[in-house]
Amino acid sequence: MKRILPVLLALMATAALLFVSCGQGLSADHAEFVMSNGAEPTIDPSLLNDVPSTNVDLGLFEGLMQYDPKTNLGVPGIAESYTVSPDGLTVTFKLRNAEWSDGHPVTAGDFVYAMKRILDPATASDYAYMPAMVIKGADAFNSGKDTNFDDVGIKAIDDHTLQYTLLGPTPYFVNMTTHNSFWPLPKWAIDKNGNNWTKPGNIVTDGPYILKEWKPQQYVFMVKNNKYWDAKNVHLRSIKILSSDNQDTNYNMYTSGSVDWMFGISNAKIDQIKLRPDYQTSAQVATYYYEFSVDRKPVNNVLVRRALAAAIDKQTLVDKVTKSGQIPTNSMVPPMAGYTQQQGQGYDVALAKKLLAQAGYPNGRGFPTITIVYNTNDTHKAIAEYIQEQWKTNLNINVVLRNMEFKTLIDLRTKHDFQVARAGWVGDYLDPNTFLDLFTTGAGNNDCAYSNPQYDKDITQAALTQGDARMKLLEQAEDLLLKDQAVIPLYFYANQDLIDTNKWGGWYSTPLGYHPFKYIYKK
Amino acid sequence: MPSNNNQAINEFNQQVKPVSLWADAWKRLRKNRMALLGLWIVVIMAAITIAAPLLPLYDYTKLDLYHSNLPPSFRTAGEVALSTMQARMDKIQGMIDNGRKDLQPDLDKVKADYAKVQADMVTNPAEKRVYLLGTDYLGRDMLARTIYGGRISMMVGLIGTVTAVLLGILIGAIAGYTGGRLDNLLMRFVDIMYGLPYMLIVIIMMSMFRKEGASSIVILFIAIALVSWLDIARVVRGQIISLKNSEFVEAARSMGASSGRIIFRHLLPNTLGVIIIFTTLLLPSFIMSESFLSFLGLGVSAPDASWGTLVSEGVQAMELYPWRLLVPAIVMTLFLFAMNFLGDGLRDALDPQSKNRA
Repeated sequence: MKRILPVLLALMATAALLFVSCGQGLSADHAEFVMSNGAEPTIDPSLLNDVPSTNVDLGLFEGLMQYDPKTNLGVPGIAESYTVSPDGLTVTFKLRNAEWSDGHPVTAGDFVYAMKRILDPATASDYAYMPAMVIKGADAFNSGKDTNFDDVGIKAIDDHTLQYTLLGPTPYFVNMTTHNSFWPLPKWAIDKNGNNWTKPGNIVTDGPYILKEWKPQQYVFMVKNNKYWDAKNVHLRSIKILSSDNQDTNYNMYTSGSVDWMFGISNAKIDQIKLRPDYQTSAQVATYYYEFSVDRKPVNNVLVRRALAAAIDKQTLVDKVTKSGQIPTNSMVPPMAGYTQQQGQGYDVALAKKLLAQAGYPNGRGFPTITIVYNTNDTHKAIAEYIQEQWKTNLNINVVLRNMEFKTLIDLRTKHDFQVARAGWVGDYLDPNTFLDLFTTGAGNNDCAYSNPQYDKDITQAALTQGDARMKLLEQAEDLLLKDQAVIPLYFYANQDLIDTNKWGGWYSTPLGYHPFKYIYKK
Repeated sequence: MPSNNNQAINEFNQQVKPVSLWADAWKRLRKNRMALLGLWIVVIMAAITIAAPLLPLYDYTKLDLYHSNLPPSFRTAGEVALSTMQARMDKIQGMIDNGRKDLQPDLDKVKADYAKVQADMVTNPAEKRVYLLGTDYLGRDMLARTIYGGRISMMVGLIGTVTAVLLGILIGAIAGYTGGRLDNLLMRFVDIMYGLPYMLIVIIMMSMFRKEGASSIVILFIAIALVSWLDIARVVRGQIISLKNSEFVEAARSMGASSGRIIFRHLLPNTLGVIIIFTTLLLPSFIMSESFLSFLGLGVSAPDASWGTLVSEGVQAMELYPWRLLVPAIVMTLFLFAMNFLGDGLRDALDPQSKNRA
């Protein structure tokens, strides 16, 4: 009997261990793949407007098209196929037999409902302008001029057929449907739970993963959605997405092996990190820029804005401050096929001084102290300090720096309550339009409060035009934007990711920086 | 015993030179070596920071991007920069030889910088600078930054302490002397303020009032001072209550002295010892609060720096460039230690009841 006791104990311990390992992957502590992401303000697809939230939602939701893991172009998602009418004005999608995570079928009606929700002025979505730019009648509905949603060019022909009527032949429209403003939404779940519908337990999704736990400021935990139409090709069983904004913490977790993929490298460590074999970098279709709230004194004067733009040496900025392969630019739109980038004001100290004098501040005399706002992050800080010094040296003006949480910064920018703000724009799809339509009058992401009727006209006109003529109009618009200097483009981003591609497959350095979780697998 | 004098000499019949409280305290303080050392360190550091504009320091706001992250050295900046770049080139070359062909562009970049600095060595006077304590991520002199950082840190400490002491004395004295309902009212107010989380209030104030153009340092001063007088007020009140019924107060009152005169001429000087001790101990705590706020990104804004911001910047790169953390951290620790030793010594010297009297 005495002998048996230790054996029994050992057996029990083994059983306990086995039990634990069976549960592995389904609790947040044992997630199969861990990513550090930064804080996600919301996961409601109608409301999000930032990269961390998009990363989370790319696991949870899927639109008609989904991002290709290599090229980030649209590949069929919920839509099985689509047809474009000869005049390019009507696009009809054929939906496959997909299901929501609660078993409801994904129908064309869900897309119509989501479109109505995002366009509804009461939703106040920052991205409403995106469908509004291309879909017929959407702008009128969004601005409240037309309260009849039937006039908007989206129609569920039957449960599996969805038809869009566009303002003009928009060649990038099909790619655009990868974006969260075109995703379907579960009406019944939103009606039942109101604003709480995104809470775990309430949320219903159609993507490869379901939200299991969400601790704001800590992590999002999601597990494979077995009801997803392509579930057999989803490899990772569970994903934990950490909300840590601190790049040092993230890097420490990465090197200790508790994070598998991180993006955004601390500027302080870039010299060391860029020599690592698992450091992945490539050009990103994204622009880092400073924007002006164009109604605020003293930056309401275009001469002042141009002087400020001319006083920044961007080449030195990327070589010596950011140091990781960014490309200095005077254009807002990154290089794209068929499009000629417009060149804005470059580095020219003599001109900068002259412009400032013309604006009434010779040698910076009488120029009030201006404030640059940025979100707390050592790279943004170093850039702000560099620009502060450039403006001080070249223009003899005083600049105050003010840092804040990302959410607060977005809030200030949305209210146009700043003079100069740090901003970045990642293309939502591969077309120059995505970098330009956000500056149309009243657009949700037009933080500058920039308004130029000619600009609006060019952008609207471009949506109705095709081919080279369309590109010409967009070029004309970019030229206007840069001449008015509502923004100072600084550089095009470089992707900076740390992930061991010898261990993880299905992950590629992409032009838009989207990496759908669906394709990632362990080698 | 052989004495012509009939009177025996004993300690009670001698003329003793009177010793004032302050002379006595100073004598005792001088015997306390740690306190004296603390006093010297504080005096010297304060003198350096006050005289900073007169010292031959490099501009603490001036960026020199070719001199970023240089280690402390007695050699000129150009030489140090070249040897750091040489080390980096060797390292990358080694990795390339081991099959990392993708690093060639990085190597070329360093080579270009090397050539640029080498060419500059003769012509550019900046290359002749000597960064005794190294440079930070934008090539600013750590020595100058630490000294100017000390200016702000000490100023925060000083202004916070002065405001706290003035407010605390005023409120404590009034509450203690008047007693009754007013005392009750003031002290309950202090209790309520105590109940509020101090750091949270400062953080809320900082984020509420840091508006465009407004210098964050002023708000920092106000925020810290507003919630820091509570301790002093309580201590002063207690002291005043225990003294207000003593004979000398009664004597003053019987001679017709006004309340104000009694408080400020008779009572407060008797509590000064406690106040001084408290002051020396408050000062470091303010510096710590400011550092903490700066660490959270709420402190002074660039290009100004305080010890707190310097430490917070240094932490990010401590594995690669340890001096960026060590220099401000050591200086700050030294100052705080010195201040605490001095405070301890003063308490022993001034407090007649202290058991640690030297």
